[in-house]
Amino acid sequence: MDFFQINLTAVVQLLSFIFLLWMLNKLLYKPFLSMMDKRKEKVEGDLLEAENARKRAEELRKEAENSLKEARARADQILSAANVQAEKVVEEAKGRAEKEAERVLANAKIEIERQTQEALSQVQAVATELAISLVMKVLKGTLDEKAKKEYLINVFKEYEKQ
Amino acid sequence: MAEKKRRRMSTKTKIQLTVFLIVYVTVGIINVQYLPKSPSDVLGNVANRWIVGNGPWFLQINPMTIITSLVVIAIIVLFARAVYKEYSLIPNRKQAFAESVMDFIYDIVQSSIPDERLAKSTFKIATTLFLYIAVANLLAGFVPGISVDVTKTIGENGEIIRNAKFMLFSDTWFAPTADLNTNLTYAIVVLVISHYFGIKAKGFKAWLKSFIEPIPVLLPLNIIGELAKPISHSMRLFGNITGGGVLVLALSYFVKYMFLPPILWGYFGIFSGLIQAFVFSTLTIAYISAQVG
Amino acid sequence: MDQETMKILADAIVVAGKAVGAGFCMGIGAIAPGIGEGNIGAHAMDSIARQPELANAITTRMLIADAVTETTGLYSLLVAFLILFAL
Repeated sequence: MDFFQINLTAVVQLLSFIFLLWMLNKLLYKPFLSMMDKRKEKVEGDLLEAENARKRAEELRKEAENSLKEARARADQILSAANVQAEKVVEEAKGRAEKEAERVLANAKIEIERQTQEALSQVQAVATELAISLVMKVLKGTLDEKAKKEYLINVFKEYEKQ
Repeated sequence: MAEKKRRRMSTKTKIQLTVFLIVYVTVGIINVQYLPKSPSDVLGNVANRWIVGNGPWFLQINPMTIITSLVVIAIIVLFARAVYKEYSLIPNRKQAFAESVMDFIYDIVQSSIPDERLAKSTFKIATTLFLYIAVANLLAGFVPGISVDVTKTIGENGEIIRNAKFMLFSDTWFAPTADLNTNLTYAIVVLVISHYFGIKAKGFKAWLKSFIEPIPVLLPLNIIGELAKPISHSMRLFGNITGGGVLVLALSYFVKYMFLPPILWGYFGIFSGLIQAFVFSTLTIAYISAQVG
Repeated sequence: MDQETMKILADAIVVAGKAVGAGFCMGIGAIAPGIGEGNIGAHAMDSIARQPELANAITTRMLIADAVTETTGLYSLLVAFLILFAL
């Protein structure tokens, strides 16, 4: 019955088990468990950080959306304002062109009138002079028919030359 | 694969392996010359243990168990020291191995014991048991070493006289787990610790009350059930390892004490040994969690 | 029959009883664990076939269950040893 003989060996084994437990606790389990705790903490910290980052990203996204909306509204406003401005500019330009045209037209009319007047006054002056000179000749009476004709032709020639 | 491994082997390893093989073969030949020839001579002493000392139980001791268990403890402590010296957040190979073993057991413990502090203590005990039993079974499973052949005769005054004969490389190392002293001690330690944790977790009154549940008539049955736990717990391991040892011895007799075939066979050495170590520590956790929960 | 023959006969009967007892113990004791382990293996295979992704967990638990089932067989092995060597 050597198989089932319990003796002092059991006590020795108990002591050796306690020794092994103590050694392994010092050498393996303490570093392992502290590392597990450390890793757990690290993972939890990372998770917290990730959550924070997610929140922050959400905030940023909202902000960006808001600013995009604002920018779009502002662009619309600017566009409509520009349209109005452009219309105004076109209107102004049109008005100015019309005015200019009117002015040019009026100037031209005035000039034509002035030239007509000038020409008329010139013609009048020449005719007056001619008449005066003719009257003078007639009054002198010294002139024959032939001389009168020559004189008149000369005068007209001169007038034409002018 | 094999060629790759052979190429990676250094010259030192090659020399060591060659020396070991030469010694192994020489001792095998010597064993064939001098060891008993008939199977009844070999297997007749299988049931005997080398016990030193006569008289009451506290004067007797099994030297082989103590020697091998010291060897096992030395191996584990040296390994643990090698891991401890280079412990870092980024593990090297040894540390990764140790951590994978511990992680494996820690997961089981954590899933069965909710209390953090008790879980840590349980983890320490279960891992220690696992490492010790696994290394002991592996050492006894396929490492040839010193074995003792004991012949038992009854003397004139009715006392038992044991004659121990030492043999080198005729058998694998004697497993400390093939000695009931070791197994029963560990199983009783587990029983005591499980009840201690139960008192710690539930309180003394609730612990006492757990014996008369569901009805007070079942008190003797509960007590017997608790006492049967260490018996089956230790006998399982003892039967496996002892049976494995006997089978390895028979097999090695068939091949005349050359120990390569048992190594290659490897069922009782590697597979069964590791499984039994795992089962022992898992049952430890189960018993403790049954008391705590 | 003289005393000598009686003694030899008695020894022979004891040896025969030991051998037969150990053989029966081991043989009959191996039936139930065999059936039990076969059941465990079959059901483990079934569940692995149903859920191959759980193969690792199932294998671990299957080995534990195997070891526990094996216990009775090992008890019979022990008893066979006891009968052979210690009785």
